[in-house]
Amino acid sequence: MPALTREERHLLDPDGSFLLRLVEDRQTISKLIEIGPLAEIAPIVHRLAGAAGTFGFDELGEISITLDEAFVAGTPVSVAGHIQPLIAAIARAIRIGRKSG
Amino acid sequence: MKLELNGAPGNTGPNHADVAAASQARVLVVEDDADIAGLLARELRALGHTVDSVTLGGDALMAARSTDYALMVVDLGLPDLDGLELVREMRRRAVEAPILVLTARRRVEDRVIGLSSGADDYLVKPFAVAEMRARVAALLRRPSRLRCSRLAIANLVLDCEALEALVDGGSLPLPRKQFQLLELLVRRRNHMTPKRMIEEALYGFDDEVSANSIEAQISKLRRALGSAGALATIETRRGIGYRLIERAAN
Repeated sequence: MPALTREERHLLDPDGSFLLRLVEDRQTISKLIEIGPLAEIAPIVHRLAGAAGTFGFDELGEISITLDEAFVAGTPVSVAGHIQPLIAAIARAIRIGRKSG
Repeated sequence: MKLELNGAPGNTGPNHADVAAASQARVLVVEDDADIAGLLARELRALGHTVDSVTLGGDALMAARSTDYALMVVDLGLPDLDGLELVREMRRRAVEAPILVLTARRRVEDRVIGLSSGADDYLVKPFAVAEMRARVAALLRRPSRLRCSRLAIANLVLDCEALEALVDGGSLPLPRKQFQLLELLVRRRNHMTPKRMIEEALYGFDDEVSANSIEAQISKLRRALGSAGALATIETRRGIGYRLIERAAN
C-alpha cells in the first residue's frame, strides 16, 4: 500500500483510538509472553493483520500477517523469532503514531 | 440498536433504497473490529452517506429486515456468524443491496467462494481507504442503482449529483440534512411521507434524534423554500406525515 503522510495517518485515526489500542496490545502481549498461553496472542495478531496496514503502519501489518498465517497454519511460534519482533514493531508504530497526532 | 418494524407505511412512492442510492446512500457496516468499523463509518459519512454500524451478524439481519440499504459492507470474521453465511442468508431473504465483503482471507479460493455466496465485491484487509471509497462508489453506480439525478417540481429543481437546489434557476443553498430531506420529499411528491421514513433517511442508528428534530428540519426547509419563492410547499398532516405539493403563485 502507498506510504501515508503524517497528516493522512492522523486523518485515519483522528481520536487516536487505534494508537491507544496498540499501547494496550503491547502490554497484553508482553504479559502473555510471561504467563502464557501464547495462543491467546492469536486474536490480537489477527486483528492487527487486518487493520495495521489500513491505518498506515505497513511494517507492523506485514509482521502481523506473517504471524497470523503461522498461527492459522499451526506452525510453531517462538517468542524470540516471532513475538519479540512483533512487540518491537508495535513500539515503532506507537512512536510513529504519536508523532502524527 | 434501534430497530423498527418492516415496511414503510404509505409506501406508494419509490422505496427507501431508491431514495438513498441517488446521492447520499444509507449504508450498513457489519464489522466487529471497532477501529475498522469507526474508520469505515467516518469515511462513508464524509462521502455524505448515512451509516448504521453493527458488530454481529444477527443484528445485521434484523437491520436489513427493517431498512432498505443501498449498500452493505460486511466483514467475514464476525463473532456470532460466519460472514459468508450472513451473505447467503441476506440473499435467501431477497435482500438486494450490493454487498462489499471485507476479509483477511487472502486466498483466491476464498474470494471466489465469497463472490459465489452472493457478495458483489471483495476487499482484502488490510485495505487502502482510497480503494474502499472507489469500490463503494462503483457499487453504488451499478445500473440497478442508477437513478434520475435531476428532479423537479414546479419551479424547484434538485441536482442530486451537484447536491444543489435551484429555484427559478437560482441557487438555494441548503445544509446537507435539509437537502436530503427535500430530495426525499421531491421523490415522494404528492405522497405522504411518514416521520419515521424521514428519520431513517436522515439519521443513522447512532445519531441522537430529539423528539422535534424532524419538525425543526421541516420548519427550516419550509422557510427556506418560501423565502426563495419556490412554488412548492410542505404540507403537514398531523399524525400522518408530510407531503410536498405545488402551490399557486401569489
